[in-house]
Amino acid sequence: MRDTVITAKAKKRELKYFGISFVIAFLLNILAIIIYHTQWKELITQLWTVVELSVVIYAILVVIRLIVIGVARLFGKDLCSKE
Amino acid sequence: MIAGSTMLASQLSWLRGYASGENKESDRKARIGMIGIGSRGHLLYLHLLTIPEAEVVAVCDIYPPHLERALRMSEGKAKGFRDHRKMLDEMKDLDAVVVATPLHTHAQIVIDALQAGKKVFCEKSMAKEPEDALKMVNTALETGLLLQIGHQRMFHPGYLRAFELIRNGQIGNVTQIRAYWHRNSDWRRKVPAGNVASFADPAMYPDMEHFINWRLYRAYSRGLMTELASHQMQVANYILGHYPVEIMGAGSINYWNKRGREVYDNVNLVYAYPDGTQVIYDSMTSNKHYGLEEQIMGPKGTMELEAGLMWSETPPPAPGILQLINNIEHGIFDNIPLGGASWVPDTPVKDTGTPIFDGEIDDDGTHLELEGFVHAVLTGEKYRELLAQGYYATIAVLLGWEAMVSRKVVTMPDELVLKNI
Repeated sequence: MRDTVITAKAKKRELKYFGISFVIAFLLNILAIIIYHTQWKELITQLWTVVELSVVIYAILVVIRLIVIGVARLFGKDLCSKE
Repeated sequence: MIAGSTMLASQLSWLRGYASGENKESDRKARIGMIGIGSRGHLLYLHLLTIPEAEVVAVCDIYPPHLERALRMSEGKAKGFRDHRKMLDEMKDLDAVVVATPLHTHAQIVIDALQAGKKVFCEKSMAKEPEDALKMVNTALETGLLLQIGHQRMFHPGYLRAFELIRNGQIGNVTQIRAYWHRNSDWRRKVPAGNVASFADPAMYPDMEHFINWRLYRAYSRGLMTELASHQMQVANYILGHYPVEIMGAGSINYWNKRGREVYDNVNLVYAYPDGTQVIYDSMTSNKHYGLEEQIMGPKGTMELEAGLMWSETPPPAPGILQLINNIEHGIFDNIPLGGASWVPDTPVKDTGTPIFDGEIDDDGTHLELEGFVHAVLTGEKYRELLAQGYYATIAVLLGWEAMVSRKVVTMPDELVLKNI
């Protein structure tokens, strides 16, 4: 079995994706407060839910990226090496 | 001491002195005689042994094995008697007695004890006949002595908190109470060998079966009504602030119909109160799935007192983010109906509820009610409101029995309404 090396660049890239996921989740929380007329303190009290939602969004992004990479390879392009 | 009792004391008269901690400085102990030391009496005795202000100095039971067990428990500190009258005659320095004998003997023993100048704690229900219960109350009033009935829920912290919340309007005006007590057992106890005539009046108990399983026979008991329902009817009466004025019901022996059982094995009643509120009560002995509960319902909420939980009719909305996620889930996974529903079923609320009482409760109220009794013996409290509660609970269950037996609607007779409390 080969050793797997996760480069610093790859870590930064994944952190960036998770950060984007968190921002999306946070914005969804704001949107939900406005739509359902709930209290603004939920920006703080529902932070854990926002973190959980971030993980779900990040996981969805991982699946989408894997599909994109897979499709690209079918057409002879290696998106991973370009990154 | 009851947790939070100081706050409640202003509303519940019998807690006022108790909560204030009066008599803390006194070294005097309440000298108590136990009359009836069977299963319930034994438990009460165990509790009294752990109350520092109480001293059990006499024990009385006609059944020799129970008397011998109590004497062993007393470790020489209590004198034994077979006859309560002899105990009352000889033990002049007794402050009080605790009565836990079969129901049909309560009235005579309690009246004898009060007339002998003793304060009395008597297990519920008060008596087998309404007139006997009235005589007991009148004797307590005439002698000016404490008569406390064993309704432990009036000392239970969870119940006290619920009473307070209900009075403060937490669930609005109570519009219905449902109460039930379900068991799956015939209530029959193993009958030991022995000659009942050697210790009891054979005219009263023809054999050991009747002596041990007295709860099953009409000569001694009103079965589920006096042994179980009285607890719940006392709670209902207290919450509604009145006694029931009309009662209808049906009972039968539909399962445990062998071996001579005389009292109903299932009872179903409706109690009507003056303001139009009804208490719906049932008890059965052939299914224990639902256990026991008192469900108190009003326009603003519901309480289940045995479970110690409450629900609001208008619970606060879920956080916005959870509503959003929920709606997205429904949008993705729910089936699309082809035709709109014309009727939405009124399914029960699935919310798990909010605790009524935040603290830990490790007592069903029995220890606290005995602490309260000992306190009242030492301070001279009379707990008349509690006596009225015990009385009307007894009357409610006995009139319920009458309604079932007569198959008629029974109205509260004016002569059974207390005029002096």
